[in-house]
Amino acid sequence: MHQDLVYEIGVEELPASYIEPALRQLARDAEAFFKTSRLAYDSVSVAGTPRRLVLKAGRLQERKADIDEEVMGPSAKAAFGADGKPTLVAAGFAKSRGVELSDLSVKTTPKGDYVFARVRKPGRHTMDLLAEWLPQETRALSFPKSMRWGQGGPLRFARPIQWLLALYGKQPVRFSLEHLASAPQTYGHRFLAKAQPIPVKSAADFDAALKKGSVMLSQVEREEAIRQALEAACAKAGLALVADDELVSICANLVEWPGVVLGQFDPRYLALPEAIIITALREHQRIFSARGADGRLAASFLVVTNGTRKNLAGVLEGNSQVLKARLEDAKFFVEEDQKRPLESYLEDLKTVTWLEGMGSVHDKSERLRRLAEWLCIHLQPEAKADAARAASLAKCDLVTHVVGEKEYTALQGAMGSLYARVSGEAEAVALAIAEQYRPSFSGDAIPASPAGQMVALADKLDNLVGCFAAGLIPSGSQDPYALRRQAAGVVAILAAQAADLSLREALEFTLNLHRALPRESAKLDPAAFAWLSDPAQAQALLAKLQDFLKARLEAALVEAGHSQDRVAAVLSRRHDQVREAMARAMALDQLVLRDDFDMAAQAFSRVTNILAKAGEVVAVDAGLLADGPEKLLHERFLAVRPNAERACQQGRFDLAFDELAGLRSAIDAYFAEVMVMAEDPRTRANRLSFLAQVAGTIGLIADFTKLAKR
Amino acid sequence: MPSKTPATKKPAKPAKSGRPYPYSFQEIILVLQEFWAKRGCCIMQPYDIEKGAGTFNPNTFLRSLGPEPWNVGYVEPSRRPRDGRYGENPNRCQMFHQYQVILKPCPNDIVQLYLDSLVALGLDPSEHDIRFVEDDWESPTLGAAGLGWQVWLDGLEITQFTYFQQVGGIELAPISGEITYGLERIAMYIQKKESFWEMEYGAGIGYAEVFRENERQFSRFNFEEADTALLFRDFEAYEGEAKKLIEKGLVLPAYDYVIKASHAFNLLEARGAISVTERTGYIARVRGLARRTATAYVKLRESLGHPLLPTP
Repeated sequence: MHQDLVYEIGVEELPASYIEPALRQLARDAEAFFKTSRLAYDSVSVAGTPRRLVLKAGRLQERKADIDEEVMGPSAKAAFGADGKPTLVAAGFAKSRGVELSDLSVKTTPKGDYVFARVRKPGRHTMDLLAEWLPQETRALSFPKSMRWGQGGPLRFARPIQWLLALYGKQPVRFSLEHLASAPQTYGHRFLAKAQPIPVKSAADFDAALKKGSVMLSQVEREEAIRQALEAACAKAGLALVADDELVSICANLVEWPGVVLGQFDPRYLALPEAIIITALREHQRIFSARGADGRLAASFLVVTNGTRKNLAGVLEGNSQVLKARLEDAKFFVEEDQKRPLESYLEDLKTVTWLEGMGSVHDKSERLRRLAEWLCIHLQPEAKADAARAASLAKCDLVTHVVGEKEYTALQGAMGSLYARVSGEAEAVALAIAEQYRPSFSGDAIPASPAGQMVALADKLDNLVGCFAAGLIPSGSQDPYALRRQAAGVVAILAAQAADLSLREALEFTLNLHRALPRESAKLDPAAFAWLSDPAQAQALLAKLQDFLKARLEAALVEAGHSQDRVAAVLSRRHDQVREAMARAMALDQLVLRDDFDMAAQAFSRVTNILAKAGEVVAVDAGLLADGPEKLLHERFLAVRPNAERACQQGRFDLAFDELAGLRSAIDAYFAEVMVMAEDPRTRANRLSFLAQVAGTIGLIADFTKLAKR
Repeated sequence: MPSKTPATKKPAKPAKSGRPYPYSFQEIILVLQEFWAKRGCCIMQPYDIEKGAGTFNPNTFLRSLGPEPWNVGYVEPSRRPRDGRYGENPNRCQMFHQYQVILKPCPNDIVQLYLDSLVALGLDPSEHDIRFVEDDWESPTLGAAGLGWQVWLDGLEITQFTYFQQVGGIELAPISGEITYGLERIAMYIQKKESFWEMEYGAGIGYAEVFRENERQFSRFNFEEADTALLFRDFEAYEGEAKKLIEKGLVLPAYDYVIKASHAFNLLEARGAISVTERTGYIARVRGLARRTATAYVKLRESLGHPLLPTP
């Protein structure tokens, strides 16, 4: 027999962002519980609103299956006499387990021979299991922040729990959770439905009960309703919505029955920068903006309501009043900020600590200027002046009213750019300031302007090196400074350059800028800052940074469609230059298609593999080489090496492969006849060192040992 | 679902002014006083020291500590020097009024009680868009934190609703529910005005008449004239006095000096006399005082035998 289960945790309004993770956890835990309890089910689904988290299981098995269990009893010696007949001990054990003497068997265990009884354990009723599991699971649900309420007992939840509904088919599952008791009743929308509970007769009736209570349980359904209502309202007013899927999703988790109303704000605020208006509406009020037919922002706004049907004019009036105050405040901030040229804020940055022990934001600005210049010399010589200027002004907006008052932190960069224009800075400088944080999320574009790319690159390198140097190294899911994203940004920007850059040199240059900062060493954690005085520690820090960037480069290559093993082959030995690594990955994808690839790759791998045994590499002494295959490979290698290395430098990895593939038969012959690990240490070192040279040249293309067998 | 206290069934319907619902600033206060008095709250007066919020009032900060029940409502004039706008901004002021309610322990139907109070103010939730928007409240100076919401009425934040979890660094049990109404905002909404300065205070007197010059003068004082050297000296002196008094077991006077130190810090900040780097240090100093006061207060109530606990 099977029945449907519905479990509803009724709560006071949950934070919008908590709902979906909690539901996922609920579904995951339910499936795990049903599986470990061996309860069969057809489906598990979850849905929620700010006021309820709901778990449903379709056709959940009614009683847990009976199981046969082996129960260990006394030792065989005690249970059976010398004559092999069961003793009183055996009889007692059988009786205690409710089995016949004939059901006993003897098994060998690590402790010796013991008597076992085969016992049939009846499965427990699903109702009983649920009555235990549901409260336990409710306690176990975790949230980013949870709270206590009432008497402040041990129960924690994201917000106070108000009711618990649990129905298994038509039967209410009864349990209690501190002061709360489950009951077969739910509550409707806080304002659209009556305050009285809605009785629910069976799990199958639950959805209908909620509809009756003006609750749209499905998040997807609410989002769709919001989208349609927004589009309809805009279409009617001849406007185009400023689309914002994230905001739709947030709004859907703020309401139980969405509605949309369109209102107007005073058009004089349209003189404010569009970004400020959109942000003020979005961040503070969760309100959508729209554009007119001319593509410019309209003095219209769209509010997602919680289903209010009466007094819509009043709702709009309230909202437009709030927007007026918000925009008025923004206007005040913008006007105050513009009383000073952007450059004058540099001085204020001296009072803002960047990271503990790593100086002020003013120090950072100075570093960014020098780093941007250095990067321009290598990558974008024409952009040097603009990039340097933009880099030194890049952080000024952090202390302006608009960004600094924490009201519009999302506008960092955008405000600096705007103020730069007002202060008479060059357009390229203003643009670069605007673009400095790009790419700011996964999938975001890199800056479009050359100066913007260099400032963004400088900022990211400085953040990476600075955080690592201050001991703030991401681990596991802990990455509060979003360093992974920034490292991915470094890779993306470098991939788009016309020239290559040595990551090692860039990291070293950046670390040296950090080292030059005057510090009161007495205040620093000596372990975290050992790199300041100990060159070996500094090298170790750079190696960590290189590995960190390598991981992002790896991710970028895999994302570009290269297989995992080829990416490993490409990066195994060489990951200092992004473009070069990407070119090799492309080349390798072509090389593997060649008929001679497998044979050559196998030969190359033999060379590389044997080096695991190599000690110190010495200069190869040609005089020590034996006649025959060894001398032959040496000669052939010296002949192709310059061509192969030149081809690699030119990015012609196909030609380099041609050259080296020509060594295949010589390599095979070498391994067939030459004893690399010779008795004589000099001969052995000489051979390994020679092979290291060969492997070094092969490694310019890839580490072929990393390729998966085909 | 929580059982409803009988008193919540009928929201108060004041009609003193001849209007069905309150209109002027003072009527709004009177309705809230009456509403919460009927629901078992002591109606208290503002505490007579400058402070940033009703939370600083000892009726909240100190009384939310420990096991004893406590239900109060009071108006609190709140000073936030940095929010001064010389009386030019329609709804931002360096001094405004909160109506503060503490229900300890918070009853299960506290949200419904709050919504009933809005009905008493003529704000029927079915005719407005009311939203509970998550708000993790934290007062770094008081070492206090709680979870709850900002309550929006048609987009306007009219109330801060918090379940206190920690005060003065001490984990609380029972939990106090704190309801903080923004009185000016509510009045502006009810009176359908676009600015505080167009509101009626009461008895035919405009809000602007009462407070606008105050805003102009105090904005100048806060931003331009307050003597920072004096304030720095004050801060040090208040801190010293608070520490001394805590040691002498005079918790209540000690707490006065914590409030004073906090306000001196707020003024210094408005004057731009405290850099961003120094800010954290000053906040930590006030928090240190708040923690010591809280710990001492808990001991004080213990030594008094928790007189408000019901006798078993």
